[in-house]
Amino acid sequence: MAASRTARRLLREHFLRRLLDNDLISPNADRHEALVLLAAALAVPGLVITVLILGQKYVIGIPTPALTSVAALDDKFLYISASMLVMALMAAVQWDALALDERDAANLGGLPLETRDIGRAKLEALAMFVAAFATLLNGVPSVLFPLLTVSHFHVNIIAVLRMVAVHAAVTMSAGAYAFLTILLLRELLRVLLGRRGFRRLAGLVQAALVVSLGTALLLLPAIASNVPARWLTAGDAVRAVPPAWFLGLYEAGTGEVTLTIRGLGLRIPAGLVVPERQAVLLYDALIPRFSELARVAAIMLPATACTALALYMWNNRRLPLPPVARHRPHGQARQLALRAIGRMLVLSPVQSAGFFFTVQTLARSAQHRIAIAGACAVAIAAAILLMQGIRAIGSAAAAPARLLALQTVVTVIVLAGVRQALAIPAELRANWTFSMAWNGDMDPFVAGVKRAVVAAVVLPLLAAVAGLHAYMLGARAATAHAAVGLLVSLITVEWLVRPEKLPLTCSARPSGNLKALGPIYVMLLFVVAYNVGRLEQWALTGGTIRFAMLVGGLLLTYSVARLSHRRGRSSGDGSRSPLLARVELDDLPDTPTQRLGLSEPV
Amino acid sequence: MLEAHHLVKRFYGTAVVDDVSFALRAGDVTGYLGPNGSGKTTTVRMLTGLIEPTSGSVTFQGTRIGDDLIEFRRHLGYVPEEPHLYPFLSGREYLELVGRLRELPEALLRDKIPAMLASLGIGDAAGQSIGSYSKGMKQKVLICAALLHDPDVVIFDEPESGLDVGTALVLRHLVRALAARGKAILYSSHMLESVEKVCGNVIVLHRGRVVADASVLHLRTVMARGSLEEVFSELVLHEDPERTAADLATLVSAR
Repeated sequence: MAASRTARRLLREHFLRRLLDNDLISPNADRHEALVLLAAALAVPGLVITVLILGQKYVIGIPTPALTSVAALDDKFLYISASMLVMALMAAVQWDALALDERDAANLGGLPLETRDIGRAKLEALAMFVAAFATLLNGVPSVLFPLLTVSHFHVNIIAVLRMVAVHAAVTMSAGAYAFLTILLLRELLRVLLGRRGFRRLAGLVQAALVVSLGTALLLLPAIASNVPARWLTAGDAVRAVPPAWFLGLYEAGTGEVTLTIRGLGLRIPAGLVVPERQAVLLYDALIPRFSELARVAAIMLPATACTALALYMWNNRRLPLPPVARHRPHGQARQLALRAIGRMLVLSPVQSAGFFFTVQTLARSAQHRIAIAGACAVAIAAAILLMQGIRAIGSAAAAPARLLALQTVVTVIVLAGVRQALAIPAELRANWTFSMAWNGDMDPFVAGVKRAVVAAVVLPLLAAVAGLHAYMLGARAATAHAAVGLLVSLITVEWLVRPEKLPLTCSARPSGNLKALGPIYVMLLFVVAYNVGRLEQWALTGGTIRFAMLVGGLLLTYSVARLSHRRGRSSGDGSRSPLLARVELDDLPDTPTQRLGLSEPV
Repeated sequence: MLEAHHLVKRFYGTAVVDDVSFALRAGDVTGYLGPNGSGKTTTVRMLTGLIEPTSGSVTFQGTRIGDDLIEFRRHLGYVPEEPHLYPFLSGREYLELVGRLRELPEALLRDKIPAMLASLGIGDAAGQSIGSYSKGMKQKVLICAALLHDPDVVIFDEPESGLDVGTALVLRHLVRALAARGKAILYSSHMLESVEKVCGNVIVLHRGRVVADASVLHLRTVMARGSLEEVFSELVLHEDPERTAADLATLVSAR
């Protein structure tokens, strides 16, 4: 028996609410406020890029048709890639909410509804969500960008409308393709790994996707420059670049308008005659490639959509059963290893509590994993930019300061992400555990948290960076560099992990003034990292004494940071009394906007 | 040992708990009964210090618990009504977290946790994430967490919720055994049969007020009733349950 239209509508609304009320938006947060902020975050970057950056380029800079067509390829590639990456990132972040889950089964399983109808309603809700997301992301540039590119030419309104429609259709289709690709990957993994295997690996895949997509998004301005030379004329490899397919589709859709503008017989300024002619030749040479890429897009989009939807319906043909605890002996070896690490790094029981709870939460909670994955994406993007043009050197003497600065930049960015993650409650409703068992002293717990950050985040990160430096500088210099990195990281941990509230239990905003101070912090980071890099250069090229001086200086800085932390705490409002206030059971997140309260009674 | 003095808790002006006073003594198991919404859980939360009373006070060994809540909680074990736990931790990891926060020695935890989990029948699932536990398994973890540090006062709020018959029987014996070792126990429950079998004294709460505070035997004698269930019906249920059920059945059949 098929569900009635009303039942389908109610299900769709229910699933849409679930997509918005997920882990990204706290259940206690004001949904309208969060939605307005999300909408603004999606729409404003497109507006800013189109009006402030590209506005100057087209209105003032390029007055001829062919040069405009060629220059616009970069920007179209940028819009298409941005749409794809943001939509894919959204799908990766919503990973768990993409399919029916145990809660759906518990809430809806007892109702007289067919699973097929529930699955279809979920899919419709997803489609509406994706459409709204894509419209917010691409709506403003779809109108403004075509207007900018024809601002110098007399083009009829039909042609302009066609360009607007093509821009909107292509960027949104590209976004939908990226979303469907992530959905396809998810459903394929579900089929290949089975439910239990998928549950085990899903978190890792999600984190890897967030890191890779976030890195690509941050590097997009560099990737989307000089598109004709870099991508379109670089052989058949371009067929494997999805944004290029949609660029082909874009040009196939608007090519006629481009040729019409060129045929208007506009007067070309003398200085631009030759470049304009070269641009005409280049664009004309690319026309067959655009057609070829458009064909790939026309095949891949429906093929991906059909495969993803078929797998989705297959995987959701039955409502998922809740996970069942298996009665079997558990990993004794892992337990022993963890216990040994704990014994090496922590001293008191409360330190152990802080250490293990931090490691377990950061590794297993999706929200915390995503926060750190986001920071890793920024760190990798920064590392790639710093590494540009640097080749293997073989010794520290010839190493540029920016290569040595890379380690500091990467660790500080990732540790800033960890600080953000520590301010997210692991599970607000379970905070009563801390309230009931809390011993009244925050310092040992925080000390355990810091050691966990060093053991679980800093050491693996330094090992990864040391591998790169061993290749670039040689093993000896890389080891010394990693030792300096460890000291810098310890200082950073002391500086960044100074929670006013108990980490992982209270939603504490690390810095209320981040919007104003963020750019200053970023500049400060690069200045400090470069100077540490220069100091290292000086130390590594000057023998043991200089290196010992550098290490001594860093150790002194670390000791001062620790002492100032302790003094800051002891000069506060007492060592015991404020602690229960710091374990707040119903600690709501700060509102992200200012409430004027004009309608509230005085 | 633990005393409630004229506790009042108001939410938006409405008194959910109204002038409740009683005392828990070492070696006693006190039942705390009342229909849904009578204020049992609110009282329990005030007793544990999780919420503050609007007026009145709770004292532990003569001292107001708010004066040194941390010290009081060193002596308190609490099984809450709702099993809110960290779903990504395993049962054993959760108990280790609680034990470490309570500053119990690592060696003690290493021996005690597996033994307690095994005795409640979830030893084999100790390494599985709590997210995959049934309600009863979560309840068993909560019971272990409440007793891990050998508290002097234990407050059970609906402890049998989700437990199988065998574990519920074990729990009843456990409560009696703990009382025999000198612990003061508050046993808040809907299960009249359990309360009757486990508790020496009973406090009956109705609409936030204490309507009876006496031994089970005394209540049965004074009210000339054969069971606690009949006493409870007399004190709290002012409608005829049979008639209410019949009305409900009529409503169910309505088209």
